[in-house]
Amino acid sequence: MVTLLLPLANGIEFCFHRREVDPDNLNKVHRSGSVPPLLAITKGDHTLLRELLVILLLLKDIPYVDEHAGDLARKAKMDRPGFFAGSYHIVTKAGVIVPGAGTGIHGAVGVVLHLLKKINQLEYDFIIGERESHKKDPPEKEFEQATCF
Amino acid sequence: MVIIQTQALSQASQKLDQAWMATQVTKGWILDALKPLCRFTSAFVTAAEIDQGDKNCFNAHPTQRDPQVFGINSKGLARITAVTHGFWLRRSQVARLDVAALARCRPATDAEVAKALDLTASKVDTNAGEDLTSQARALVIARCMPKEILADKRLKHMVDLKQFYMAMWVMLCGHFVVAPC
Repeated sequence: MVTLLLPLANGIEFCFHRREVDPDNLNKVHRSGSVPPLLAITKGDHTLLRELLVILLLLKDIPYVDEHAGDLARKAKMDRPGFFAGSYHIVTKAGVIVPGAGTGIHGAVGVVLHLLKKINQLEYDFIIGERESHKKDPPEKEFEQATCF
Repeated sequence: MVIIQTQALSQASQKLDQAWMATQVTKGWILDALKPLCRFTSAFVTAAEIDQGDKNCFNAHPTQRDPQVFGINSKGLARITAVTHGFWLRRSQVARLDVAALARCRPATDAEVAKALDLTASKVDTNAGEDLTSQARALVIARCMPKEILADKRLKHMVDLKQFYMAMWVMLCGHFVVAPC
């Protein structure tokens, strides 16, 4: 037990007690959430942090809704990725939950694919394997492939 | 014969966490989960019934020494309130989830996951600032923390600010006392 005493007015002291314990693996969870993003994405097995980074980075302009963080499936201006009742879902503009993506990294990529199809066709095609690059083709390549004459 | 439910406070909290992963929460299931907590509000309990992490929720009986018994204190009552409130809140939330009947999305395949990870890695350098890392860290902690935090009115301001590490720490480790000296 660590105790800090801070003197306040009128002879009253503010006593701050802190027990030297790690309940519910609080520090372990904090460390696992603090892994640098590139390391979390490229090294080791699939983790919770990797699932979240995939969603946050690939859908960076869309808010992520997670009921474990106190969010609710409310109406909004756009469809959003969400985590409800143990698996990933799409939350529509009307606040309706579209199920089917499932859990884990496959569920996270599932909801990303569902939304990318509408907002970024290039990246969607790249992930499903229909393109070799997620970037726009350069004009030179377009010229090389042109068959006008 | 009286069967004593050991470490009931932590067990009820863990059952609440299970409710957050379920698509259906029934009244019977909640009542079964909450029944063991009644003992804490109506009787002094032995050390065997108290989990290591719940010790700060109990005070030793001032005179009863053999066997040593413990009574719940205000911190323990606040936790029981949060757990109880959490169960009913969760049942209400699950009942109000509006799930689409026809529309469905699908899980990704292994090949799609590999491609998505390549694409994510290519975007890290330009986006991985302090905002992203702190948001990701807060979400990881939120996913792993006891869900009674979300139903604890004392911690509501921390939940609103997404300060889940602080909320967990205040609930489980620290307590504040203003004492005349």
